[in-house]
Amino acid sequence: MLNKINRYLLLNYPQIWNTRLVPMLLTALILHVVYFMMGYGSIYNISFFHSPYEYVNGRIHLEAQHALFGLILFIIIVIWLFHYLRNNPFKSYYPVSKLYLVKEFGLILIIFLSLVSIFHTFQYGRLVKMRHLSANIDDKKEADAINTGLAFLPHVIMDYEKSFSCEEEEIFNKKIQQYEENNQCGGVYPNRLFEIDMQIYKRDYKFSYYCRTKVENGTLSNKDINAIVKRWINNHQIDSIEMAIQKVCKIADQYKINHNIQAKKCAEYCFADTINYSPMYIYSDYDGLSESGASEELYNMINSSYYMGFDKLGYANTSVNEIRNQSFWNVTNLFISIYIAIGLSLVLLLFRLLRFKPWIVGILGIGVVVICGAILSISIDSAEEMYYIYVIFTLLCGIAALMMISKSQSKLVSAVFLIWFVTFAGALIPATFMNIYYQTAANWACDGNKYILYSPEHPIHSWINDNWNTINAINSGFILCYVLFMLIPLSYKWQANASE
Amino acid sequence: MSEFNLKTKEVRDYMLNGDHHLGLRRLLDCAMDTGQRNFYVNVLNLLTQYNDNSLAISQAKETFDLLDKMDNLKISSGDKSGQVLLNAKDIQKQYAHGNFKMSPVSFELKYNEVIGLVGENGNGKTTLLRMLCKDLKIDNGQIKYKVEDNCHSDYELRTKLIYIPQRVPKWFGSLMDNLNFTLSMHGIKGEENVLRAELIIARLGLRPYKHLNWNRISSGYRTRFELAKALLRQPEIMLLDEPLSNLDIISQQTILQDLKHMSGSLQHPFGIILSSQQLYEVEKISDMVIFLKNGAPQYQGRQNEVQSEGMEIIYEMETDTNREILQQAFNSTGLKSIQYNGGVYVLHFESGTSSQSVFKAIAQNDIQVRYIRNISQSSRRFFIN
Repeated sequence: MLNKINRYLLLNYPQIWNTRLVPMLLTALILHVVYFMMGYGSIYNISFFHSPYEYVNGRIHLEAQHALFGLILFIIIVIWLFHYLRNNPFKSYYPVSKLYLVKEFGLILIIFLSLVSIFHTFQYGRLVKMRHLSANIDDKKEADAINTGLAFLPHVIMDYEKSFSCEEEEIFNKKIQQYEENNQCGGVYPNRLFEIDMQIYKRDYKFSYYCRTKVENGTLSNKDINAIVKRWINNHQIDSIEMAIQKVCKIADQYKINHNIQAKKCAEYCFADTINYSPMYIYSDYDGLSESGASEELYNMINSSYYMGFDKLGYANTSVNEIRNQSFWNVTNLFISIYIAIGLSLVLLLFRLLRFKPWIVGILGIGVVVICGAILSISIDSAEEMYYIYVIFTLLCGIAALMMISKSQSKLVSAVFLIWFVTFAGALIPATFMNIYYQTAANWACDGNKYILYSPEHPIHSWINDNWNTINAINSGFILCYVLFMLIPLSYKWQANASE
Repeated sequence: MSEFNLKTKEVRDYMLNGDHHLGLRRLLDCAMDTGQRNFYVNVLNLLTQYNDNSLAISQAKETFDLLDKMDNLKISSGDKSGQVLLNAKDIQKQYAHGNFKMSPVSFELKYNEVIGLVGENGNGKTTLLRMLCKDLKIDNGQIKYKVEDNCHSDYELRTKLIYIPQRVPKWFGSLMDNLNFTLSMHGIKGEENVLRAELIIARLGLRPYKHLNWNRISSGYRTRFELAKALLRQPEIMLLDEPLSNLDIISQQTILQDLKHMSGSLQHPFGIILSSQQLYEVEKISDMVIFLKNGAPQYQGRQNEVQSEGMEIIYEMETDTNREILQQAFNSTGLKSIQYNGGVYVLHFESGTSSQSVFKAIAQNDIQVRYIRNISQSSRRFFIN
């Protein structure tokens, strides 16, 4: 079947046949399916949520998978290039149409996009599995339950210190605010004053001072939690506390997080005079100890006490929340793929258009130019000046290529300038917007103890900040434009020019 | 009788006289000239029968029926013969590095003409060919191409100038696939593509090798393949650098004769400039010979002009007889000098010496001759040092 398609394409659509579009798209499709399944299968169960981003479980395994698939992808690209580079009608002076090279670029861009995007499919497979696993979890409610329960499971003793209570923190924040207003050019609240404040309340710990939300995702605020803690402690609602702790334990069990919490005992400890000397201090990272190489004594000590992976609990809830909000069509990732595909397509297109010698000299020359640019930037130490040097250099390369090719001058030198222009012009628009971004920022200066606004922020500053995806889209369009309207027409002329 | 009818008559004569191979090759040319698919198919079928039964073909009624059908077609030549395809005037070249300098060369190439470039290695044949196909810049002079007027760009012009270098670049895939690709890139699609490829494959004797790749065919067939590919591109000007170097003696003659014949195609006539060291073979088919020495055209002239230029009579002879005996034998026949280059003697006679007197002297003195040739009108005389 594939042979018949190939034969048909050879006799009727030679360009598509020559680029091996059909077999490559089929290969890419198979890779996408396999990679989706690998992504889906890379998450075994819900315990993944408390160690997201492969920090703990399966890290090596996942990297090996990526390396293997990267290698397979590399081999596929090499095999494809071996077939694709066999015939070059353009260099053989076949009578190709004006749009021939445009189509050629489009075809290789499609092939590279289809291959480069397989890593997104892998992520998509993972995302689908994670959504499937977390389908029945109400992350908001869960966050509230964790925040409430953790108030009665002390593992960071400072959280119960008076100086961090809601009231004191409010007073303290006001003090800092006042200080900073009066000393705008003087920096942050000095440590010296901070330490004096802390001395006042040293060793004054109570549950009713607790004013924290450990997980950001909930609906309850710090003050709400504080109000609940105060009410339950003051009213001696031991059953409510026990129930809240049980909820946390249930959530930990759900995510397969190790713990040995006994809700009833922990609830009873909440009514001790001070929690500082309480035997119920709870270790939070039992699993993490194995990684840090903890001693046997420490293990024994912790085993005789209570422990629970609070951080993992937070991670798990946050992960579920992130997955809920995560979109597969992540525009930033999409642009990364597009840029990689455009970059690879351009390198290949240049190889197809030019002879090997100018191509390799041009490509190696890029490295030399970049190194020279880096050395220059160290000596100049001004981003703005470097930007202007970069723009002038890029434009000069473009003008030199244009003039030399038009006048049939040295094929080697003109090709090198062309390669440099094509490469460096790719960053022209982002660099320009970046320069504008820094130039249009608000300009403050210190006058005595006050900051004075010398020039306000230009509206374009925030527009740039909020619209990088639009800028990337414009840049992609710009790259395509100069490929279509400059590189390709010049290549026809360059190819037709006689050697020296 | 039209030009096409003359061609079909030529085929009939070959067939009737038993020159089947030649007849079939010319028949393929006629089929290509018709530009009609049914003739392509019929000729290819005939060719298959011929392969199966080599003796019966000359008598095969269908061959002559086919020729009769062809005769009924009105195929005009487009009257391109005599039109100048390329006019090179005082073209010169000096490389930036190296001592080589190409002195001014001027000549014209017309449709259906072959120009032979001869000369020893490193005398500028390849340089001249590369200048003519616009691969190499000229320092001075001018090259005017007839096709230039219809071209919108330099690239388009170069598509009409087909240059086959001495070292044929490696190609991949089967021979047939490559030819199909070349044709489809030139807008010949579908069934017509397959038929035309089959025709040219048959024409250049590549049928048994059409599914083979580069590694499985000899260098001679690789050259033939390059020629097939070039011919499918319907060139206006064909520039061939040492095309005979990889061919055996019989193939050299056949290929050159075929090229000369095909350049006179009614549908797509073209001109050929080829470089070679095979002087005799090149001279046989060339309308003009340019002899290059140290980058300068030491001699250039049309074949009919060569004769009038030849003042002295020169013979090349291989014999075991020593110089003294030869001197003595030819003294009375106007011998001016004898040269010996280690292999053959070169005998220079006075102008007007007849071949009768030379052969008479050989016979009378009982000189055992292994090989003798009159090179007075051949550019071979420039290679006798």
